[in-house]
Amino acid sequence: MQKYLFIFVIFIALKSTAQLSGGFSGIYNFQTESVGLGARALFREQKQIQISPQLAYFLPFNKVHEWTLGVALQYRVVKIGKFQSYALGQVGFNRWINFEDSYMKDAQPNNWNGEVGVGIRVGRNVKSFAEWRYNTKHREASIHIGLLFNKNAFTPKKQKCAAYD
Amino acid sequence: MTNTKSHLFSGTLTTLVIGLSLLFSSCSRDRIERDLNTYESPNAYLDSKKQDEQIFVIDSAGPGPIVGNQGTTIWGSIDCLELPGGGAVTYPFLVKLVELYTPKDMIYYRMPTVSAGMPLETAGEIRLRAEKDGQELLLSQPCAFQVSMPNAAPTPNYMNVFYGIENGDVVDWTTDLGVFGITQNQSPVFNVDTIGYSTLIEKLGWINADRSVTTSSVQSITFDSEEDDLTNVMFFAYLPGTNTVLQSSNGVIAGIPAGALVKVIAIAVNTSGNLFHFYQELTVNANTTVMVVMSEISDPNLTSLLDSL
Repeated sequence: MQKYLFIFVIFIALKSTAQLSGGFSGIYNFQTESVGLGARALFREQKQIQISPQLAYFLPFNKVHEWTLGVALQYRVVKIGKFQSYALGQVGFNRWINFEDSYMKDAQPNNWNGEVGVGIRVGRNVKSFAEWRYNTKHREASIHIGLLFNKNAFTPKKQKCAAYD
Repeated sequence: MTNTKSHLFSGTLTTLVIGLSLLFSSCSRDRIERDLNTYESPNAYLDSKKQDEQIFVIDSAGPGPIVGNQGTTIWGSIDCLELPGGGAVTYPFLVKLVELYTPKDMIYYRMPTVSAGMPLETAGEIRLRAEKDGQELLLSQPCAFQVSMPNAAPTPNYMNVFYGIENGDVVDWTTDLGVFGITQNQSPVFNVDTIGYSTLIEKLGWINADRSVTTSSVQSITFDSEEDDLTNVMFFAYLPGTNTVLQSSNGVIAGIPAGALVKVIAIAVNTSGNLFHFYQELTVNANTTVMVVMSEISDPNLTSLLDSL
């Protein structure tokens, strides 16, 4: 079920590239005490429902070494100027690389994870964001802090020629 | 309309905060922490099973001897006793005796047979004390009490008199009376009599009929478990070849003679008060780690197991 939802949301996202941002984040998982890096895209950011494919990678020196490729649906709750807050839900495929080091009796290398959370985002072309998330499978909370860049954020604006004014 | 939006927003926010708080409170560290069974110290259980201290009221002179439940026989005189300050003792006074002749009783009493980390072969342990009006009495020098410890097949000139050095709950054994400031006047070797091993003791307290185990080296057993938190589990080792009892310290049983057959028994009580144990026999040729899985056991079954050591 989760993998079909994952594919469906990715399909919808790829059809709507008009409002596209991309960015990165730092991640901290409070329960596994692990630090990770994240990369993400954000589609439909001016809409009520936004789509964000994401990759999270927790580095090898952590107690949990893993990556998760997922897609989040974000529901905008508040928008005031450059500020947005949203609730989110994500499904993702998780590869737990060092699962054999865990004391969990039913630890598996391949998992489908669900996450729910809330986030805030501030900015227009370059946006900073912070999210608090809860992994429903492993019952772990994490915080994501990062930056998003509009796809045109670094494109120079076209100069109008005075001769045509 | 604005009011409706405001209520909707605050309601959503409240729901989110409560929901996320509930989620956070149910967080789990299962992926990095062991979810182990926990236990409490078995000391209360062991105390309930250990040999009682027998008390004899000595209210007049008599021919003696004093004989314990298990056959320990004591000959002594009030003239050999003194108060801590050196004063004379008058009747009545008390003689107190604890007898530990089986590995089961030594385990219940947590009285391993170790001298300075080295294993001892034992023919039994006793604690002999005398008391007057709550004051522990001393043997005056150079007096001695004769003690015979029952044994079915005693070996002449084999066992030595070891005295217990009490340090908190731990008792170490020594043949050196100088540790207690006493000059040795009697033979430190047990004789053989019709009761078993017989000797003249020059100090009251813990007495052990022992012999150092001859070994080329000593090994240790460390304990680990994937299912049980061993923090409060108490481990004992019984070496049937030498009638030696060892007890774990910080999760390690040390002082095992190389090549010895060892019967390991672990005892713990869970938070519901149920008794748990682990039992394994192994020959120890080198330092060894034993993986432990504790299992529930009834008191009669554990008693039978200890009787069968």
